[in-house]
Amino acid sequence: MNGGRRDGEGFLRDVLARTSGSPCGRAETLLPDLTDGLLADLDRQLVQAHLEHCAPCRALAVALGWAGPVLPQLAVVDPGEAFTASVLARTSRRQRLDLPSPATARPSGMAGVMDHVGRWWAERILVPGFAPRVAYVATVVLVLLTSVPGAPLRAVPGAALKLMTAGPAVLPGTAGAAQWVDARAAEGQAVVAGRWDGLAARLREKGERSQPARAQAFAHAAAAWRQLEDRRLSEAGMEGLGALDASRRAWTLWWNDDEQTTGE
Amino acid sequence: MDQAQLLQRCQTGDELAWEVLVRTHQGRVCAIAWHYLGDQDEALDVAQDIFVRVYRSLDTCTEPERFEHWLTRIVRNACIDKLRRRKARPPRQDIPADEMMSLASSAADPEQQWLSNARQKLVQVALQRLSGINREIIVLKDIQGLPLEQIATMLDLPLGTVKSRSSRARVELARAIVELEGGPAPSGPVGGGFGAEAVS
Repeated sequence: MNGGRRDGEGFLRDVLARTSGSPCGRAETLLPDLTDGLLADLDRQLVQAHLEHCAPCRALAVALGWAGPVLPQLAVVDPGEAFTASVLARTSRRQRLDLPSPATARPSGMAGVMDHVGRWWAERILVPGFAPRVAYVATVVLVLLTSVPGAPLRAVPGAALKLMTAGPAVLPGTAGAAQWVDARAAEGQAVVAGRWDGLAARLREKGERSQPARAQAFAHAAAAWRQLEDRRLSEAGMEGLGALDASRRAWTLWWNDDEQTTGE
Repeated sequence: MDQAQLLQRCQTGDELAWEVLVRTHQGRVCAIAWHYLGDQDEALDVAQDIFVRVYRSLDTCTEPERFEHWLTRIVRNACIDKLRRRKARPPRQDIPADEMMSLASSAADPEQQWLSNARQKLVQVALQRLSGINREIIVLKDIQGLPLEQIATMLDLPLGTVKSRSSRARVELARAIVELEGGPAPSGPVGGGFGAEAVS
């Protein structure tokens, strides 16, 4: 009996393979409606007849049957009390007060139109991909307005380039402003140059004033090195102390403008 | 509580009204984010950001009766943004069922409760195996119960396309469930094997 059934199924499969092909695809398109009880009587009988002999489609029908009622149960999850607390902590009244007042204080006229456009923009900008699309459209419009032969703003890029090259003096009405800016810049430059000259003179004077002491320090240091080479440590120490003293005096003379140069 | 009144109170800066609004919608917002993103922690983070964004743009919701639609749209956009940013990252693993957030269940009997939970977890895992558009339609239509017209508007698709997509999405979900259960291998969407037992 079973062998006869297998033969029958095998025969049917061969016939379907050579004629209409597998009916599973057609059955699958009707399964949701079968589950929802929306199929016409004949279609329902045809699908049920197919399910009797097709285990994969039957498994699909069973899964569709129990999954349908389960899906709405997934509509809400409990994120926990910590979630609510966290949201409320991030949305304080202070933040709200910083915002413009609600619908009661909507402006009218042109301001109202701008307000409306602003709200529309604020809502649209949240849509994913909206900003790149706007940028793309703006680029296309800009190219059409400035680059296509006969475009109304075709001369603008050339004029802008010319202006950038020539500077602001070529702009009508800006010549006086440019002269004023140039005069202020020259004054500033003169002040800076004067201060720099003063500083350089003071540094030069400090250097000259402390030069003898620095020379003495170098001389003591060189003498100390020679004594060290001759292994006369006591004399080397004395010369070292002399070098330190001369260095201290050189620093004092460089730093304090009222100190006088004194020989040893 | 009247949705319009609640929203108006929120727009005037009433913290109590805002708390009620958050408590009313947080479960749904988290669920949608979770179904889109497939990751609990990420869904909670995105859901928080969504509420902050909603709070700051409450004034732009001028039609209180369409608040839920407006909110769903914001959730969807935020999740799609998140998915786009995540594209460069390695694909996520299947969600361990035990780590998922607790789901609402109406079953009272412990045995039924266990079965219900098991099935919810199985469906949740199967959902993550669906293609993006099919998962989206299942989430919006079969889970959140939005009308087809609203979904068509939201997805910017013709109504007929959404209808046919909806049927295909349910079949794809059923196929994923069967595969997870280790049942008989179902055929693909077009043609495929005809009766495994028939050829054995």
